[in-house]
Amino acid sequence: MKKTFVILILILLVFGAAQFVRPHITNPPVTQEIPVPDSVMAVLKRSCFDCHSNQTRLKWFDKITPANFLVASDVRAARAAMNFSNWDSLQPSDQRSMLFLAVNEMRIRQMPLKSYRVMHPGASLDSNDVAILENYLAAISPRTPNDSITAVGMAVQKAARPGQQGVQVMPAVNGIRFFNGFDKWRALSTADRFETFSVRVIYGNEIAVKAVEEKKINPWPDGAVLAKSIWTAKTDTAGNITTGEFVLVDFMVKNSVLYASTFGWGFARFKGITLQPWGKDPSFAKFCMACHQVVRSNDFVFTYPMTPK
Amino acid sequence: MRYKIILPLTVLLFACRQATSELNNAAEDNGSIPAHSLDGTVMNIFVNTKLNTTSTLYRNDISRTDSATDIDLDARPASMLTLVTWKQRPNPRWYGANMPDSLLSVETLRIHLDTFYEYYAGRPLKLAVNPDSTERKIWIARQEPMILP
Repeated sequence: MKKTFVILILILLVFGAAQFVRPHITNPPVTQEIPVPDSVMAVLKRSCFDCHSNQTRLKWFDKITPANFLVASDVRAARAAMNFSNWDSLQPSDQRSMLFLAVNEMRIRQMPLKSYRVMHPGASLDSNDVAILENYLAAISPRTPNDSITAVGMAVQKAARPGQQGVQVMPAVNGIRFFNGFDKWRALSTADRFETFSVRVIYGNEIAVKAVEEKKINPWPDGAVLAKSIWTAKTDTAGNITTGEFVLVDFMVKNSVLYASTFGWGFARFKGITLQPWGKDPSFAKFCMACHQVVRSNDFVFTYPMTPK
Repeated sequence: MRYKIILPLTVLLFACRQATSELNNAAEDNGSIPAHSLDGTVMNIFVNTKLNTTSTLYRNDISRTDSATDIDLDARPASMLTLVTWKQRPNPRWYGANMPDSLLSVETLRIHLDTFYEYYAGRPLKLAVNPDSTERKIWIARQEPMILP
């Protein structure tokens, strides 16, 4: 009995002493707060600002050691990923992309983090909150007619197609090569992305097509390759959209062993009509994974493949 | 003993449902369109934001020519262009993306000395008469391939 009492006292002493060791969580100056309507701001402040801004408000239990170390770590990571108080540090197109990513994470209840929601139940989002954000994103993503100016860019690209001239395409930095002839593969689906003003065709190689035909795509088999080719959305005044300038082609190469550290997929991107491999070192894949982790329950693939006839 | 039967059945049912839901079944062909219609490569894609539809124009291997070579249309062997149109719907996996939904129509245009046009519509798709066939033939024939590297 006496021994238990001593141990308890010791634990309390250590716990008390630990309170003098705490991380430094500051609120640096706000350079530009995200400019959004009040209804949107209310949702962001309630559910996101504690971590994704320089206006962090800590509850009393957030300040207790050792929990505060976890809080500090989360806040640092969150501010590095997206900071609503330094909104001017992002290009306008990146600002919109980040918001779309955030909303898509909210839709699957990945954000706010479950660990945060447990301790801060008021930060949880319901469908109305998400709808407010979605409606705002739709409003800032208008389909503006651009057919005249796009035609000029298309003419330039037509004159400079490296594939037509037999130019060798360099592989991506992780060794994934450019798949010549991907555009002859079967189209598994198409996509019209109003948030990036682009249209896309998603192709599959023979292994991918076979997997679709056999309905075995979760997980996709090793050897499957998906190609996502992207064009700007050439839009006319009547609201008709078709492909404009070629933007890039992304490849996802399934090999659950070789690419175990990147969801079992090797990612590669070749940009522009000259197909320049994107990424200075293999860590570029983290940018791919940032979005694809949203669909982890579907083997990290967004596409719903159409079953061939 | 009962669990030995029920459990595998449950797993089987769940597995089937999972596999099906991952595919875009709504966009499947559900009628009598020509078997070769979707065998071609993608020539271009289109979206009509007012009708909320999306279309893919396929061409068969025979008709695959580079616009830069400017081959005389009548000098080519028979070519098949197929325009497939779907209703569009949001991709549930990504807000900001739309994808094909239910199949609305299939239009085929065979080009060889003369043109031969067919129109399939309805559920399930059946050969039908398109009152706008003249305009449609011209529209399909004039579409250029998308830019590829």
